[in-house]
Amino acid sequence: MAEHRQEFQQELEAIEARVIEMFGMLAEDLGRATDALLTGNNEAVKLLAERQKVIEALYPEIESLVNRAILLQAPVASDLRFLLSVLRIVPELERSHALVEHIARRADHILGNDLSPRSRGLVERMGALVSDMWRQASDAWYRRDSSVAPELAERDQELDDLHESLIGELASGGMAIPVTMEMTLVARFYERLGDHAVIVARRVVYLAGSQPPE
Amino acid sequence: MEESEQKVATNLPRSEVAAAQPAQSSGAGAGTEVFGAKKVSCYYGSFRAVTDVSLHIYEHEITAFIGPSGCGKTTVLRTLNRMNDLVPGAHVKGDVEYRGVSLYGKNVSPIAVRRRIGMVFQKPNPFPKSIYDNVAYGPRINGERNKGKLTEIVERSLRQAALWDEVKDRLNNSGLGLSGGQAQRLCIARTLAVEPDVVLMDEPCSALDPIATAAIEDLMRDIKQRYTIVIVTHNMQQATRVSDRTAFFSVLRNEESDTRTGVLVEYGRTQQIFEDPNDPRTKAYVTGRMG
Repeated sequence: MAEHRQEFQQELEAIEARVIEMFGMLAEDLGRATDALLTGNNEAVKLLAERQKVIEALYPEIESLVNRAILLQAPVASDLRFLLSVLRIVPELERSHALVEHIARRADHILGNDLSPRSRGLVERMGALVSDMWRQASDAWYRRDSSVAPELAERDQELDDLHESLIGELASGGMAIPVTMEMTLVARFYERLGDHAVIVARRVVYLAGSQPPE
Repeated sequence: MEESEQKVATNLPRSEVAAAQPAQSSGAGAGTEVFGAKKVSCYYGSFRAVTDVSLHIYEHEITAFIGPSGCGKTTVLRTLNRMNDLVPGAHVKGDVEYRGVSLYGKNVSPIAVRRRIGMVFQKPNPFPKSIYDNVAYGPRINGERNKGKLTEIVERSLRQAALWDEVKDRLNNSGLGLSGGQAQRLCIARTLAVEPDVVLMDEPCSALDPIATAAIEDLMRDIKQRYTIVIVTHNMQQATRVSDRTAFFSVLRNEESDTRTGVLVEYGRTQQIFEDPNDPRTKAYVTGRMG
């Protein structure tokens, strides 16, 4: 039997490529943002702001490609699940990259050695954990692997615990008030990034359907 | 002759309760079973058109048969009212139960079967008679002579078929003068006039434009409160729009013996078949990749 709808298939692949690009930028920039914050290296700040612009342009582009495919191709089954999942996931990616950029921007106000050793360690651990969670979420998406969602939910609990510890450390009053205020926001950003990763992994459950990953 | 047919006809149960009550929503669970096909194979001479089809069809639901040409969906539909009996050399193996009674049992009359299980064909085929006589045809054959009763049946059937308002002032005009969509609704009215239990539809909209198609689809949704409907369609969007369950048939090729036969690949709730099919062949077909 012949394979049909090759043009539609190419359109789907083009959409997937853009989504993967967003995942890739997010994963890369997460590490950069944590690094910038801890080292005070504000070189990364400009770069991340540029990347946020790229992401903000990709978002409507992907959206309009999906709208077009839904309108013109009457997709069903895995095609429909894919397109609906993209529509739901792309805003998560855009929001998440914005959070990453917010974290990096704090490198302009905070010098690495403004932080207490304990809060430094906690930020480091949160950054590493969130990076890892996003790597898993990206893999789950790419492999259409629905088994990742419960694992990420557990790791998110771990992140919430770190968040609480950091807030406790900030509340102990060991650091300058402006630094404490900024760091409260940073703690919140990491915590939100974890939540977004969990949501993405959950969306993959619908995307993957009941079939084993191909 | 007539008496023995009457006797046979009473062997075919009709769920009076179900006929009197409107359908419950076909939401979660399955309702009363109308047909149970068990390992049905259909032959035209030595050619096995369909192999080992087993499926259940439920009351007050619309069940759609989809699949590529030659997959046997029409053949299976025609086993449900013994229409294939009319094809020389055709025979059926396995069993089809209709409300618990074997349709192919020795003492079941195919005429009685078709009275309960009506059929609408791909091409509208009104008789060369007036609109009134087209609809009154079945009841007259069944012995209804009372003019008042017949008129009542004609109006009720035309109303159910959503055609009454368009033809009520010209019931004596020929049925052949109607548009394609109207003619198809006339054929549906003619089928409904004998108050069947089930209506089988073999691609009822394939010769119609989108507006006439929408009218037939609305009508199907309306009448499923009273009837059980099985439809063969090539239009997958139509299956998603109207049906509660979908059966996907495909062609199985045997390279060695160079033969092919129709098989039932997957059967389930329409949403599941089109959103998350289990079989890769179903997925390839509904997404339009293969077939």
